[in-house]
Amino acid sequence: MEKELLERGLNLNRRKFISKLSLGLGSAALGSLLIPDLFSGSNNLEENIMRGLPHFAPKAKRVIYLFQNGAPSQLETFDYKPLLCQMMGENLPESIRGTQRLTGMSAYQTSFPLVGSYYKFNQHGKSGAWVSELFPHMAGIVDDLCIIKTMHTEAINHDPALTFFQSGAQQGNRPSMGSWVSYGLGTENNNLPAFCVLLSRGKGNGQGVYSKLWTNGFLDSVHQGVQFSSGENPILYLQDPDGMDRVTRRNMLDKIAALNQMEMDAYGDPEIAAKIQQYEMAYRMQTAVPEIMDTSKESESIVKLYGADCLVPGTYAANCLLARKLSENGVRYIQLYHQGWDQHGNLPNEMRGQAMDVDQPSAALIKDLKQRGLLDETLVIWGGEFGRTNYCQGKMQQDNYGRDHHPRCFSIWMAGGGIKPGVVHGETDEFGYNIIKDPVHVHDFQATVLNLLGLDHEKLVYKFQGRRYRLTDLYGNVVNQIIA
Amino acid sequence: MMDVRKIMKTLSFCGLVFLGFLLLFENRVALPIWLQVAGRYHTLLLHFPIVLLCLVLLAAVWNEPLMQTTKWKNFESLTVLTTVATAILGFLLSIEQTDKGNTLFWHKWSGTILAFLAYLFCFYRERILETQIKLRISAVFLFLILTITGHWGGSITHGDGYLTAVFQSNKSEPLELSEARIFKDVVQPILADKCGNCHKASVLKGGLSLEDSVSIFKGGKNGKAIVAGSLDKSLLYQRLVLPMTDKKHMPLSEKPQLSASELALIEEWIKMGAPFEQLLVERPLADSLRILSMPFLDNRLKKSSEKQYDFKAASADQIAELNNNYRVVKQLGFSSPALAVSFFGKANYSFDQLKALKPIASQIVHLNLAKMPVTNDQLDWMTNLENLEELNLNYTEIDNNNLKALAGLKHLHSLSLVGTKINQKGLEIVSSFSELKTLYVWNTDLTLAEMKNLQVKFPAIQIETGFQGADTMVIPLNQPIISTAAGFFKEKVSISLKHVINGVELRYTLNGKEPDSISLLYSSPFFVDSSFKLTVKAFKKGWLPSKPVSSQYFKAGIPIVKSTLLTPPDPKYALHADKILIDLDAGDPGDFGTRALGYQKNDAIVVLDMGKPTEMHGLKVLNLQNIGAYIFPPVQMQVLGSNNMQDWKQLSNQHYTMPIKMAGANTPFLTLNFQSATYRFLKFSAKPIAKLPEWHPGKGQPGWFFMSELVVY
Repeated sequence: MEKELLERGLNLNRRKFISKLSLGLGSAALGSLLIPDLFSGSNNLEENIMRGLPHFAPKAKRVIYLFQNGAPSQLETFDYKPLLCQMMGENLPESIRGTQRLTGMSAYQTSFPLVGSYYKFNQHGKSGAWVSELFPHMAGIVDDLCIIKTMHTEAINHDPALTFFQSGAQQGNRPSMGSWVSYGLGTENNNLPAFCVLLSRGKGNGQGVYSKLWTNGFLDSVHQGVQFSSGENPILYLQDPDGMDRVTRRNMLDKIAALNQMEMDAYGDPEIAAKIQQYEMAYRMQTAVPEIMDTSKESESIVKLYGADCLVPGTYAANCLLARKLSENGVRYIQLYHQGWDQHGNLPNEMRGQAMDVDQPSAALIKDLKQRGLLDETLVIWGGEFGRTNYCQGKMQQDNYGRDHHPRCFSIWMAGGGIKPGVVHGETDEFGYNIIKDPVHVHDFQATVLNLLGLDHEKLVYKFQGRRYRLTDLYGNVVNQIIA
Repeated sequence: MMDVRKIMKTLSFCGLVFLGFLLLFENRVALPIWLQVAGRYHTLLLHFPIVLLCLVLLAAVWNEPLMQTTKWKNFESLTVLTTVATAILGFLLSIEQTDKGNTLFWHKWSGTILAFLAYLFCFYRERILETQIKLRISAVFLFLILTITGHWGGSITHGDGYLTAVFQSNKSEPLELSEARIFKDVVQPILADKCGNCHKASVLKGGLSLEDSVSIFKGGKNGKAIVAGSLDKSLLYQRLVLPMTDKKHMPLSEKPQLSASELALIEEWIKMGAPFEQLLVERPLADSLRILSMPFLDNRLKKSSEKQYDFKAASADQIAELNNNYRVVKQLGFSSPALAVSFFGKANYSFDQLKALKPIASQIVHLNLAKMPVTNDQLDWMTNLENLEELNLNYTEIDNNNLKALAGLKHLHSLSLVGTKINQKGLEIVSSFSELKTLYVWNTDLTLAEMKNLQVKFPAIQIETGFQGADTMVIPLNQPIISTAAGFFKEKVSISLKHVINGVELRYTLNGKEPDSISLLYSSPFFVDSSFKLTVKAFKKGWLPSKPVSSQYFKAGIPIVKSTLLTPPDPKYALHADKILIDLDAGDPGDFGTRALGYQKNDAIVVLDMGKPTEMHGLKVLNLQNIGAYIFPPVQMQVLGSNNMQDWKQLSNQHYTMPIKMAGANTPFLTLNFQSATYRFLKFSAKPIAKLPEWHPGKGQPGWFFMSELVVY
């Protein structure tokens, strides 16, 4: 047995040596062809990442992403198009639609009647940005926001669009943006995961969210998003079972760690080391998580700021409050999803309900971070996966209509963490259908988010199955105009 | 064959003499035009001697016997001939150049030397180089000269640094905006990048160097490169804007061209008088030159937003050693010596944890102690943090005492004291911070008025007063939570209520009416012993009341021992068919699949057995209705009584009117009252609607009847 082990060890070394050697020579030769500035200083990508430090001074340390799942209409939120009200019911000119493919849900329609916003718009703040009357609280903080009206994406259905937004690819199983950030920057607080996920659901027509959206993909499993649920146990299987005390748990973990360590010494598989670490972290989370979930000490001012629902677990308001608390405790990336924004029909009614859910808490989050001095270092993002058509889907009535999916332009906002406040970026045409100035592709958006965190999206790479992968694939330009 | 070699030797010799002659009388030589054309063939011919000479030299090093053969010697002669010819043509080409830089000078002479040495090496080798070792050394030496000559030649054609350019990174030193000079930091980099390869002191094409202000003003052989303020007279600009097809256009058409923004900048720079020493910030903000310049500085300035510190960095080992799960020490950035320290996990904090930071105290610029049990006596230690800029003491245990200890922190920018017990008096210390920019003091003992006073007193400091909505913002409370599940109870039911917000008054009614501010006040769980509808509403000062929330509770009737279905329910809705009607579970209008029995094709007929003859006067049917889902009320229901399961007496027979429009799901009790009588068995039957009405989407189809509970009383 001993002989076999020795042999195996030698094999391991020999193989390692040879592969390292070829890697060394090959990568120097090939690498210089592939990476333009390979010889202009120390730039070992993976090595730099291993240090868990930003590539340059970051403007934001953390991200809170308020994902409005289902795609809220840009035409009832931030993209004011009075022409659509004037041309109510007239057909969308062929020249505007061009070759845009439509979903199966409205492609069969014989006409595409334009429909203006049921809700009124007003200008707010010093920036004079147009905001729909559905969002009075957001309108109140518009000077802290950077509204991007010219987002565009490649997908036209929810799941691929959502996956594209989160992972930079439509097909799924690539690491999520939060996992990339965790990989690039590491965790700030070793007692909590670097990437947390919070779900809530509005009453509007909903679309599913799946755990593939917060997958670590091919990155180490420590970078996976951890979902907090609204039940009694926010993190499943974290709590000790009844009858087990902390000392017993500690003893058990020590024994398991010893066994794992033996395995680690024998085989040297880094996943074993990761496993040991994760057990330890879960143990620390057992005390850290209840400390954070406890909202009983939030003052009445704070409760009113977020709205009374912030104390009802599982609501969007509660998730916003929790996001602040997690962020405050050093969680790098907090991903919220609020479902129910898919208004193919009954849009005016459903959007009112959805807006009621998210308006006050979203604005509250900005105000709360600001009063804690955290807004400067926390990037907050609000937006969906694509926009909605300027024409009516289904039957058009005086006070009721629907809108289909529209990837060519939609609005999101960003705030805090190095973003220029009080800015409206980009312009769409007067039909709200095409972009006429400063388009921002999803990859551009991702590159910008990474840039704000001090990460160069071209250098944040991971080699998997012989290829280096990036969140932005081969694309993406940082949108410098919106960076303060 | 011998003759060929001799001819070539003679030709080479003549060439060398001609070359010597040319060199001797360089300044007096005037070339006929055809010779000028020949000179330009230098760049073509030069490839022959390079390759041929390399072969000859290789043979000298590795294959001496080959060198003795006649064929090889002929080959060598040809090599010498091309070398000499190249040198001559090169000289002719050099005559054309009126302005000669250093590189040309060295290239010319090394080329000449190479030609002479090649001649000697090939034709007089046996005489001069007797031994093999000497032969080899000479070959290597010649190779070196060949290489050097070639390199200089390449530098003249392609520009200096042509080979090494790819290694040089285009990163430049970070720069403060206040130090940026228009020429040095904006214009010069463009000239160096796009024109510098040819127009610099060592190459001097056209006699022009664009390296510094003196040589720029001096201009080249065709005139002044730049005349301040005049685009027309500035040859540099004129050449830049010539059409690409014009031979005089610069940069040469095959070289990288200036971008539109670069051209615009140079134009503006010359128009503005070509300022050389001026700082960018000396020009007004709206100045066009300044605006055009900014994009060129963007990359360099961005990096300078990273604050520079002049203290030494702590060692990586030291940082690693001080990091643990509850104390995180991190560099601010990749190359920054500054450190940020955060503490996590209240239970794991002790003063010693803080004191352990002593070795890196002067590198710490951010310290986050929020929520840690930091006490006033620990503040003294903070004076060790001489470079501290941000201190977060939110929700710590500190108060006014000893706050003065912080006065030693001269670089403090930001101080957070949210949620502590400090008051106005303690904050007098603020005047001792000269660099303080932000102060967070909300949720402390300071009132809003006091905070506003403080702001007046210290206008330079931004005082964060926090959101003060507790008194001013009036929004509705959310609904109370009724913890007791709705449905059946036997004797009595305990009702408990709660609300997520502390200090809320919960008021309720038991009769279905909406509670108001004088309705019953809930304090602790209470009992009710008859069927009722509970409605609860939350009230609190400073809030609008919540919407009401209600639940229905049903008292169970006479105990039923057994229920027997005489007709089968639809198999899809027949779960727990033997006891579901008497299990005292009210079910859920949305959940008719598992909590109720459904009938469509046939009537529902059920016999209930009370176990013994019992006095009763009615039957209640808990009926599920969901019109949209084809679930209608029954058309007719009747109940019969018997003591022996044979003689049935009809007790009640009811017909129901069908709904005339859509309605939501609900669960009404349908009541069949009858004269008080004593029976052991009851037979109940209900008839589902046979055809849905005209207005319904499923018109003409059979409808459904659902029931989840039968109660006898």
